[in-house]
Amino acid sequence: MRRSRPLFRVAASLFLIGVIAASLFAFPQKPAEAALAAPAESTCVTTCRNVPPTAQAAAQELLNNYNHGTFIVEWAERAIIPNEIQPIANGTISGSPQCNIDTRTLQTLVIIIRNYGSLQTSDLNRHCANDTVATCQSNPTSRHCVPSTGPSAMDITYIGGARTRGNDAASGILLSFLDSFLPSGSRAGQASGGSGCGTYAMPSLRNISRFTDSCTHIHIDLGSTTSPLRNLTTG
Amino acid sequence: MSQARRAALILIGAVAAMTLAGCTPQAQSAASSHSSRPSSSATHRPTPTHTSDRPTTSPAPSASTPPDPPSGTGSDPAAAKALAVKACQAIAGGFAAASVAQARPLAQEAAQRDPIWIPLADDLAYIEKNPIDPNTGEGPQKTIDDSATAAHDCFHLAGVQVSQD
Repeated sequence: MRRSRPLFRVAASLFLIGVIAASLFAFPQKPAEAALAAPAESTCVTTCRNVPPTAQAAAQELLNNYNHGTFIVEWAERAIIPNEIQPIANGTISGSPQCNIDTRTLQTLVIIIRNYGSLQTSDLNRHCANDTVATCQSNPTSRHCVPSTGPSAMDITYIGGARTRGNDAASGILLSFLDSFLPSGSRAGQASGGSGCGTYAMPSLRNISRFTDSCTHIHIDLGSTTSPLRNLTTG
Repeated sequence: MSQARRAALILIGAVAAMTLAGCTPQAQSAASSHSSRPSSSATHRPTPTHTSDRPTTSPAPSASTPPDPPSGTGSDPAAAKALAVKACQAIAGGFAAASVAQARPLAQEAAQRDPIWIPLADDLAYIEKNPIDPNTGEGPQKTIDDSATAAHDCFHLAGVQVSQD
């Protein structure tokens, strides 16, 4: 029996090394934060300075971001640029008012891109760009379709290279940041228990309520509030 | 140390290693390997964001297929919930006029059997009478607010996810 002990020690050591190695791979240090562009603010201070004051100015900055690859639109909704952002930037949106977007939403997109380096969206105003599945015919009360003066909803699938599904670390980081400047009464999708979301913990928010949605993206809208974004300096 | 104890120790070690390693894919999926500043040509993989617009039920236990409600009225919470689940399933994809027209009578019947469903029935009745124009987005603010309340009630009381996206 004594002869087999060294063999056992070797086997035990190998398992111990395996356990340590597995734990190192299993718990990477703050993965979403590592993927996000640095430096990113957790509360909107510097990023909220000199925000474009008008829809046209914000759309022009988004168009510039689009041309530099930091504002990305998913293929199915690619009409967002020619049908929505471009006319707002050009000042010709009055010709197609159903394609307008809430000024605060455009400002929010600008702020997110400034803070994280890039943003990918999959839905803004559904009247003028949609994937033919989720349309204003299928759900007229969606905040991608109302109000008629310019919907406020935005679906975000990446920030700074980190995927946002609504139930992940990057979504939590984004929501905390948004909570520092969105008006009270704003809403976000993907409350725990929603389709495909599972049960998970998210940061507590003061100005944003949550509703259930599918965990393929993070949905943000401004609810029924008409208040401006908070803590901004425009310029 | 006996052979049995050694075997048990090895087994525990292996289980621990496998358990810890099992967390890896989820943790890595949260952290995309994409560049933080993608080039204009480096569009991320398209992601469907509207699966909620298809009629789906939440994983809540109460969302399981309800039994057909019995005919007649009177206090009957179980039958009322079965009707409410059907009403919510009718609007799971959103508040299109045809869906609301299908859901409203079911919710109304549920409300007659259990007053807990009166707000849902009232909300759907208002939405049906005061629809949002799907082409322009014009319509009363109350319709939009009522749709959010109805979706909330459907999820929290009937266990059915209704699209607000």
